[in-house]
Amino acid sequence: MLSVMPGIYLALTVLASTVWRTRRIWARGTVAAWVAAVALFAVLMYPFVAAF
Amino acid sequence: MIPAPLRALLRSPAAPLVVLALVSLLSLGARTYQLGQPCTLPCRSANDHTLIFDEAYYVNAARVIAGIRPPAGSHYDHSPLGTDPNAEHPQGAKLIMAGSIELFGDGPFAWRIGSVIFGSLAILAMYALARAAGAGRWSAVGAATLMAADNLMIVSGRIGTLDIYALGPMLFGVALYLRGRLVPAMLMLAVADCMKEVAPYALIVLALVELGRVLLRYREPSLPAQWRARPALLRLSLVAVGSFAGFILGLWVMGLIATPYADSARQLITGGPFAHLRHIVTYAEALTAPQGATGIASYPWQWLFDKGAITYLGVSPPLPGHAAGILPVCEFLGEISPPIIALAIPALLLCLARVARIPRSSPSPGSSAPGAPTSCRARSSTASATSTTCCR
Repeated sequence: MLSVMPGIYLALTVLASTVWRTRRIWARGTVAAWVAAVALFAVLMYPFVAAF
Repeated sequence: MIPAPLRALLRSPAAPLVVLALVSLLSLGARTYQLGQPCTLPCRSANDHTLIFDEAYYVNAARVIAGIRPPAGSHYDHSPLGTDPNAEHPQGAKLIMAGSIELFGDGPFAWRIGSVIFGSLAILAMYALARAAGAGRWSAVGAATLMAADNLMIVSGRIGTLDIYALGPMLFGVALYLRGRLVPAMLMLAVADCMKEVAPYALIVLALVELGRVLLRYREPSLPAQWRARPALLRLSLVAVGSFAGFILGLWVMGLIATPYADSARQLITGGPFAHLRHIVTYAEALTAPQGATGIASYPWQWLFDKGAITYLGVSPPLPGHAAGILPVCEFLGEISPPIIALAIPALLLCLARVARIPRSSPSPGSSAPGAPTSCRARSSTASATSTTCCR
């Protein structure tokens, strides 16, 4: 799994930057919310937080 | 929306690299925090530290390589010292672990520091790959940050397993290939091959990149001549053969340091690198699931649909009135971060749509083919099944 993930990270970056560049407030808000969710899950899933 | 001074700061050419450095440091902190935990109480010796997931195989194999007998009843406790009893994988990562054990002593720091270092390299390699594939600096930082924030990476980058050792060299290898640096690319891929046998999948990515280039050149003849089928095949063959030769050479050298030992057959593999390679292949072939994918097993496509978490290790809080046996409470999950996997398919579809929509004549600066004039730049995802090639 780990070795195929970089392609996903790259594709997601393309998706996020494409949406961001539309310059629409709702689109940028969606990207910002998604980035916040990624950060939140990094914390929640951290082994010593054990929220899951 | 963004204040003018901050905007000016963000426009500085060094800003993306500063952010990349910060992300790398944060990731390093997250992956080294409580590196030695969890531990059985009272935590006095190396054997009291709990092995996480497949560390039970790889750490014990590294111990045997380093001449340390694993605890009775654990994997490889009867294997000949100095050999690699985990012969179904190349020795590379385990040799690094064994070297750490000899340097720092048998303990969790030595078992896991290699994964921490290679995890950090993988984040930098992600940036390098994104840049080589045509992404801007900020986009490349974004890709590296996503990697650093993914739970799978955080966990794999701090436990003593093999994949993380292969990932960085794989990514650097593909990045170098995209930049036309074929010899360093083949060396990097050979190093990755020596870490785990998943690394040759990078060649599938390169094949898809070249196929994409050839198809684009067929549609748009003004594209670089190096994107024709023959030079593409030559490049790919050179790197494939070169990295395979490097891998065989690596197996030979590693075999001199730690002879592979087939633990289940209780037999040393003494026939040299090809005999070892045959053992790796036959072992993998024998891993079948006649009842279908059950337990932690899954079909190759299921990960894309988030098959669910594999609990690498879970330590529950002690029951009221009972003393804790292992501390601290923790849960190591082998799971991709849900917000990342949730958008994986739309993101891949977007990339495919972009490839399909490439205009017939859209010259732009930049080229990743060796010596190629500029008109189109190959973009590649490194997913073995998801490589794309697009122009802008």
